Amino acid sequence: MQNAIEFKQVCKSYPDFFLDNLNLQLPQGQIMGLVGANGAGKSTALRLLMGLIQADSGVVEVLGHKLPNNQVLAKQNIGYASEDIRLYKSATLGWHMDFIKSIYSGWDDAYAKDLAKKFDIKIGNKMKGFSHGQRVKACLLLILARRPQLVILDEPTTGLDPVARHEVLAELAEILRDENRSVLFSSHNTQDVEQISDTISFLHKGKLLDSQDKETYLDRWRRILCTGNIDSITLAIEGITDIKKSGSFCEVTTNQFNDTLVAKLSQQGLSISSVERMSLEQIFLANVFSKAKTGVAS
Amino acid sequence: MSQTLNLNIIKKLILKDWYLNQKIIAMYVAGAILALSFISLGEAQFYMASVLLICVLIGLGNHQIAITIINERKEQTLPFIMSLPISPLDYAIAKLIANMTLFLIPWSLIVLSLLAILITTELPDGLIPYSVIFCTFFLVNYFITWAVGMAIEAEGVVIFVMVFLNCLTSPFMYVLGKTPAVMDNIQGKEALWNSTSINILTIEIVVALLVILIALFLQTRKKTFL
Repeated sequence: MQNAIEFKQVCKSYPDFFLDNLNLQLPQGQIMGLVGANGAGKSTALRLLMGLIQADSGVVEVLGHKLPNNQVLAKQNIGYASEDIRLYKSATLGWHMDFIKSIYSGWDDAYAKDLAKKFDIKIGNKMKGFSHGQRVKACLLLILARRPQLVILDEPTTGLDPVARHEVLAELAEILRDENRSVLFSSHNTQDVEQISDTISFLHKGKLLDSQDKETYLDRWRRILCTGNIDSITLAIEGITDIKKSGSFCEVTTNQFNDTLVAKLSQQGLSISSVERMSLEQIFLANVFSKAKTGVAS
Repeated sequence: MSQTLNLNIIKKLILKDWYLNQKIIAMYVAGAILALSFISLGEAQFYMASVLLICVLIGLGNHQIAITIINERKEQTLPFIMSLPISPLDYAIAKLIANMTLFLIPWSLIVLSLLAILITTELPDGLIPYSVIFCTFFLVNYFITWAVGMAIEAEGVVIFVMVFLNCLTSPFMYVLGKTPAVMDNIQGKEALWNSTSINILTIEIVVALLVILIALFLQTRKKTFL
């Protein structure tokens, strides 16, 4: 299967940030959620894919086209929306629709009108009268109605009310009815990522910490509640990312959960009370705090 | 970087800038028509109309650079445009043609109308070389501001360049007024294009072309479009 997106050892440096040898692939037909705290490098990665910035080294390929040299060919099949993007205030949404329609042959008028209705945005209104949520939805309309092979979204649901969020996520899920279309989106909202992603990639301070299919990724993480004394042997068990103690009560977090881990903890004299699955939000926080403790560069 | 121009999109981008600037251009052209309508009615009217024409030429150039280049970055519509299937060179060429036509067409209309008035009224035709050199000065200023805008895209820098170049208007008029080869025939019945006038005009045109080439070169080397 061809990759919709491929980063090979990509580096990009700014005075206060370094994207460190990013290697990442998104197979065609999948939704990948890019998760990370502020300054993790999510927007930088997405901007690299659009040719808005250029990598210092490494190879960026989108839909089989190398960037930046073949960006024109690549961008013919990409729909990109981000917080960086604004539409022309003095023009109406209808004007923007005509403008995009004149550029992309795949523009679907009926779908565009249907989206405008679904998103409750007026085609004849000027952009300067649009609220933040309406602007986001207008941007999404402009990219979705051209039916691109690849949709790249930087924080698509930030600032949207729950209804608008639901509408946007439902449309993204709809895209993947066509198995040749792919979505890469970054979000602070782990609920969104958990809801619609097939694959989760975790960036932290310019490094890719994890990239895996959602089920496997979520399945690896567990919170194990137990009682007993934690010793240095317990601390050295592979896969334990964090231990919180409160008296004899312990909360062990692992990113490599399996039955042997529970057995190992029992062997150390710990009494296991429960083993809990973790939400992506909890994993996200555990990951960030764990890296803050150990230092991501190490 | 692929250097094949995407002519279809370049055309769309030019039309887009024309659409977004049409009201501004109409406003300045109306100002110019007003100035030209009374420029030949007497000495006081000539000076008033000249000042209005100068204001129109300065405003026309600066206003549309602010809208098409500075605001595109400031109001974050540049990423929207750069997310379309275009290369940095396509963008630069589209901007060049859009801006040049947005300025050159009204500028040419103003200059041609001015020349027509000079030729057909009692105003001395000897004013023609001076007027052409003076109007071309604003053309050069516009090209320099455009080049800086495209290369740097920083609002503060472009405003500084605009102000600086506009401040040169009076010194330019002073130097031109102290150039006998240009001024000696200003009251003459016929336009006299001597070598000094032609040389000044040539230098103006060369400077204008040079700054455009530099801006295009820098644009193709740009790595960030945010």
